[in-house]
Amino acid sequence: MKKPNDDLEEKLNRLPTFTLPTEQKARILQSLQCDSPERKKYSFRPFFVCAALLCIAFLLFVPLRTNLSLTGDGPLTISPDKELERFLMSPRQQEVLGIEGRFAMLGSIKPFVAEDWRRGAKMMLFFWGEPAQLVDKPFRLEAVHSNQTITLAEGVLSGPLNDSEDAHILTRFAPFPEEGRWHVKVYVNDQVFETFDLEVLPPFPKTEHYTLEDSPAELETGKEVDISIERFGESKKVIQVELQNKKGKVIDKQWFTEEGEFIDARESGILHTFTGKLTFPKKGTWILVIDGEKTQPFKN
Amino acid sequence: MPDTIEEWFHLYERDLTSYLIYFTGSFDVEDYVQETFLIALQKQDSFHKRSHPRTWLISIARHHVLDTYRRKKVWERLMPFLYSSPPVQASLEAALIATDDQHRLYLAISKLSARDRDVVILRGILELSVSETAQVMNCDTNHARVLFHRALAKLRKSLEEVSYEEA
Repeated sequence: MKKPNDDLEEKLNRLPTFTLPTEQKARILQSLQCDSPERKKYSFRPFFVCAALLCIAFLLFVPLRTNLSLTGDGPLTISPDKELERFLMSPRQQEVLGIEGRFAMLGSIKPFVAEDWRRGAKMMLFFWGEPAQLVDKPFRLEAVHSNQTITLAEGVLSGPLNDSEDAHILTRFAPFPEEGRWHVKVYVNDQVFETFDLEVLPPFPKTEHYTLEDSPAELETGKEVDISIERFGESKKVIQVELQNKKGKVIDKQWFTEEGEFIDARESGILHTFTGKLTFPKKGTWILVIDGEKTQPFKN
Repeated sequence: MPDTIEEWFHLYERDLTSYLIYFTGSFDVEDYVQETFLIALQKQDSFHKRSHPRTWLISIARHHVLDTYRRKKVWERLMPFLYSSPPVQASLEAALIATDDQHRLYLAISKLSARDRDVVILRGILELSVSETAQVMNCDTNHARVLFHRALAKLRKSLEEVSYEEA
């Protein structure tokens, strides 16, 4: 019989987990590598006490501050914006993601994934508005998250491709460096044309040589699902893939076979794709051991 | 099992960061994460694999945050006019609003007492086992089990209140 709290526990388990931004992680790793275990723990204590006293003395002379340290400047300060919706665009009835009558994107049907370039590799953007204010005008898509801003794409808009829109452009998106909610601003002629929010999934689980081509969050649980893995390096006919729970217990073990090889357009290397099936019994935290190489723990 | 602190960092940084973000209600946790690993590096010799490294690291992070809070509280008592009660950080809320349900759940968790919030984060969000939760919270397993059930009951009540306030 199901316990009454099961649903609540499931909801708690689905709350997002967080990882530090890449540069913060690099800083910590550097400090760990520099710091010997013999670090004197209290050597800076007198300095800290003096510094604290000085800070307090200083604070007595400045206007009261509402938040100190722990709840201070968070990296995200933007209130949530609207999300894009899927709709069909005439005349070809293509499924696009956007804001009807304003802006739309035709590209990967799947959500964007952090650090991934594939899903944004080929993006067709459509604009609606006053043609004279759009055609041949520069556009730029900026994305903001945790106090960092990236340019997703930029260029010059062309006239309509179909009869339905007023301007279009074929472009590619720069990868999102981090997962989470990104606030996107579309500029045309340096003026904000439209804004919206995008949810970006965590990076694909990867090891030194292998990267999953599916986002675990998109895979169904409780049944066998097809999974693709990409290898950068020499060819192999088969590889063994092991699914472990967060405690390292093996849950599923399967052989994946090589399907084909592709040229990596960005790094001019050869990529090998392997396919196979795995069963994630439920939502949770998992580790994959691919051909003896371990991924970091990830959630599905 | 990984032997170096760098490997532990790769394996458990997400758990620590998540724990600290939910526990402090702030995204500004880089210093806590760094201090946790530096303390672990110093005490690595005293880690005898009696517990899982993840549990051990979360215990260190928890002690470190509580210690910082305790010191902060002393200063708050001495100079209350300098402090105001920490509000739920808007940015953290914003990051959580994947669905209205998650938003309400986060608000309800933030209304729990520190101890209830602690056990909800450890057992509910980070999925630590009862014995791991007990190790982190420094209590016996039965107590941890009871704490979690009580916290869930309070969370359910808090959720109803949040929904009522929103309505």
